[in-house]
Amino acid sequence: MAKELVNLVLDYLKTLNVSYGDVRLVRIQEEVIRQENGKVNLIRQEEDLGIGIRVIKDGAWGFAATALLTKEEVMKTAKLACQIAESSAKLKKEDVRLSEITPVKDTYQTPIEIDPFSVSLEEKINLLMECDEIMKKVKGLRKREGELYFYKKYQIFASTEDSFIEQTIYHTGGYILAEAVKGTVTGSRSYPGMIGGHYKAKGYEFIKELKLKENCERVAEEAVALTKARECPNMETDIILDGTMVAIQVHETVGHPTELDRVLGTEVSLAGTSHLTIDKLNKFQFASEIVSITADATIPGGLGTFGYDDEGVKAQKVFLIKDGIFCGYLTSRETAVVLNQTSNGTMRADSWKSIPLIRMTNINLLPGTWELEDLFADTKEGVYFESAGSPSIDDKRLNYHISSEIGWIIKNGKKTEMIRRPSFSAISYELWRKCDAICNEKYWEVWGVPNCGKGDPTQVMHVGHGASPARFRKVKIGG
Amino acid sequence: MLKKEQVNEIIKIAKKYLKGLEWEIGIDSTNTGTTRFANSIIHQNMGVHRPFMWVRIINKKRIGSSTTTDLSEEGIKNLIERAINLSKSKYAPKLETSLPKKTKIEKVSKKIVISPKEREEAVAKIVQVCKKNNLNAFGVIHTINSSLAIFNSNGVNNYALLNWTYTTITAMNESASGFSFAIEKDFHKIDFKELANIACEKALMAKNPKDIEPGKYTVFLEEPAVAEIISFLAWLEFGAKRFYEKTSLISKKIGKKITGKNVTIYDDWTNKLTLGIPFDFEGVKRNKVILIKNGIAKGVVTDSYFAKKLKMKNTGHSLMQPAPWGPFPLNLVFEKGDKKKEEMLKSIDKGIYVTRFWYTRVVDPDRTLITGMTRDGTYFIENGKIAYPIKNMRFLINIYETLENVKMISKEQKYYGEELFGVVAPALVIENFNFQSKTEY
Repeated sequence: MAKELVNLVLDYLKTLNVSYGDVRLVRIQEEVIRQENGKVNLIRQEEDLGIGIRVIKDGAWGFAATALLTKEEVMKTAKLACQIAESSAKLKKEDVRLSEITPVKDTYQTPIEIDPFSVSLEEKINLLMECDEIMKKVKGLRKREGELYFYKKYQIFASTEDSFIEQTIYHTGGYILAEAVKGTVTGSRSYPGMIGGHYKAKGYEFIKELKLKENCERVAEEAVALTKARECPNMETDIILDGTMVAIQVHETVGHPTELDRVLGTEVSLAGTSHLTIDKLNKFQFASEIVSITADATIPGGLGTFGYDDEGVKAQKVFLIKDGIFCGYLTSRETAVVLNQTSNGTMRADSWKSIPLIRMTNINLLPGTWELEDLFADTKEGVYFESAGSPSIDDKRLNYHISSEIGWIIKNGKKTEMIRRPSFSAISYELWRKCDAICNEKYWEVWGVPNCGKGDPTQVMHVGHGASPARFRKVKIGG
Repeated sequence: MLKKEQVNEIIKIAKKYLKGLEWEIGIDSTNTGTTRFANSIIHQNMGVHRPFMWVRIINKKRIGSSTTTDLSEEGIKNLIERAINLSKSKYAPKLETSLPKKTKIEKVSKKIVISPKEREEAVAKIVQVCKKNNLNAFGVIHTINSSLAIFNSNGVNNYALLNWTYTTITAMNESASGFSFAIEKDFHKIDFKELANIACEKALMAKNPKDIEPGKYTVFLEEPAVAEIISFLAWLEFGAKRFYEKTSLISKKIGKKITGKNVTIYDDWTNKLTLGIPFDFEGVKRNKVILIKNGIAKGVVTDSYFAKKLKMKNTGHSLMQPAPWGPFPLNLVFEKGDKKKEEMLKSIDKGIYVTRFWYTRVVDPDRTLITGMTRDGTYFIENGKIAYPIKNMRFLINIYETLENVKMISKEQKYYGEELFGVVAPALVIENFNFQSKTEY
């Protein structure tokens, strides 16, 4: 039925004189289970089903989408997409051009061991409750929290260029959190340490790999200890960032500014632009020589891992930063033309109702050579930032600010005193130029960020970041 | 959007599968037209119809909830079956109060449908103004028709039909940008040329910005900047959950001074500038709630769960249930003052003029400490006038301390926000506003 409907739309589009058309039929299932202080306060299963139709007519784009999957409605929607394109064309300067593509007929599925939607609710809730029991034993907590999240997307992508691709993507993840209060001070600690949890393109086996139970006691104790910890002092010092902090830094200061649509101005009205303009490509010393960063939609387990993007372009690995030099962008079929390139396959939409945009895939800082203990031993004075908090950055992606849940003063090569919510601000490329040590692949993890916002209306995308801990010299920290 | 008769038909189908159960159904159906423009052309242009239905089943006091966009009979049946299955778990959340009692509230605005052609013509006007000023036009026009219906087994039968247009314009050249916006119930009331003129004027004034050192300055904040600060205060302070947990500062200060005397903030869906839905997502009538009056902490908003927990009145501020993050004020109003904006500007010897903020985030909820950047029109004020543009700055402020330092409040207010959440905000003059660092443009 779904395939028939998609083919019906494609046949209809061909009668409407479109120069290009694509159809995405998307069904997303989500399940979220959440407990707070030993009580489940949220179990919800969500289903989002619909069809999005994108066309180029009269040399301009049009898009229309509907959740009503009847023949009449989807034909009406296809017609609306064409009318909208005709309207766009009235203000065009030149016709939209797309880089070449080889049509594909293929299927892709996230490799999983256990389908998370086949696991009983009881088993999932029992895990959260066992975590709660462990945290409950630690005195002084005000709040104990845990959440599990499961996502499955089935999508058909088909185009008037004869591509027809079926993909099934699974994402799985969760977190635990402990919160303690003393007077007016809150100590908040979570695990696995990334804001909002840790997620992977895996099945339920990832929940087992997360080892939530094994980390409950430590997290709870650290939350209590944080209420007694002092605030981060203001100073200039060396900083060591854990993998989650590095992942968010990669996201905000490399992922977003290398989106070529931003660079070309198409996100000015909301997300902004980028300081990484085309004249800087292959010339700009963005980071120290030890820094190389890729966009890789092929690595196992990343939230930005898939078979094909939402233009039917095969998943790829490309360099954005190589040996410190800014050398690449995330591109689409339309934007790649500006660089005389073909698309590197980063166009994704968060739903049938959204148009595809250039989105991060898995943006990865390649591992270095350091052992973490050697990195501490080599640092005379500094601060270790652990578990990323909320970041903030200007609309050209230069002035970057972030805090972490917890920090540790480093003295004479050792982690010493705990500090509360340390933060720092820096100009992004100046910060990366100060990177002088990156830990090796043993510490490298592909962190999942399930809430990357972009577009207007805002689309929320799942993206990944491979990162290991790294050191940055002489950074101003504190308020 | 769905007409009331179409909603009734869906409820009739749903009831076939809900016999013997307590239930709540919400149906939110939205038709959105979006035209985005950049570099003075339309580059993204969309029409989307999205119906969305949720159900909350109460089965032996246990809750099961589920959502769908599939409003066919099979889709509705599946939705209800999923929710019933979830409610059977021994761990399913308990309904700790009863579903709201019977209400019948309707607010039906005259439907205003805006065609792609009308949006294109509006963009053409914007582009024309920007071209005259040798600037490029960027921005968006969203036109929305939306219906919201909440029903339950106790007889709640509420329906609202709303229209609104949300538009932003950024006029820009290589070194400078200027911003303007409008949120209006009626598309036809927006003067797109005038809005484009405002954005252009700001961009032209922003050319060749100077560097100034971070530090504490007197600021003139335009309405979007004020709305942004107040929206963060809402998340941290104005809901009953953090109040119940005693983690918000307001929970320790009811009846006591919490801001400067000239600050009054309340939630009121009847304010003519808000988009205003008269009932919440449980179907309870929204009440006006005073949050801060003349600097004194007065209260927070509740839903049925937290009203019972706190032994307070249900103010009608529930989000879609189950809502583990608690109730939220969607229609905030910062009470206007008595000053013209020109007078306010004149009063500043030296200071910074801020058009809007960007990427604001909470740094420390204990202290209502937030940070973010200025954007699209930041200027230095000297001797009561805008003297020259400056490079954008990062602010780092404690919101309550900042609201101690409000010196002037404008007579004029504007509604600024996203979708159904917004703040009716005046412009403010604030002393000792902390800028922590700067950027390169």
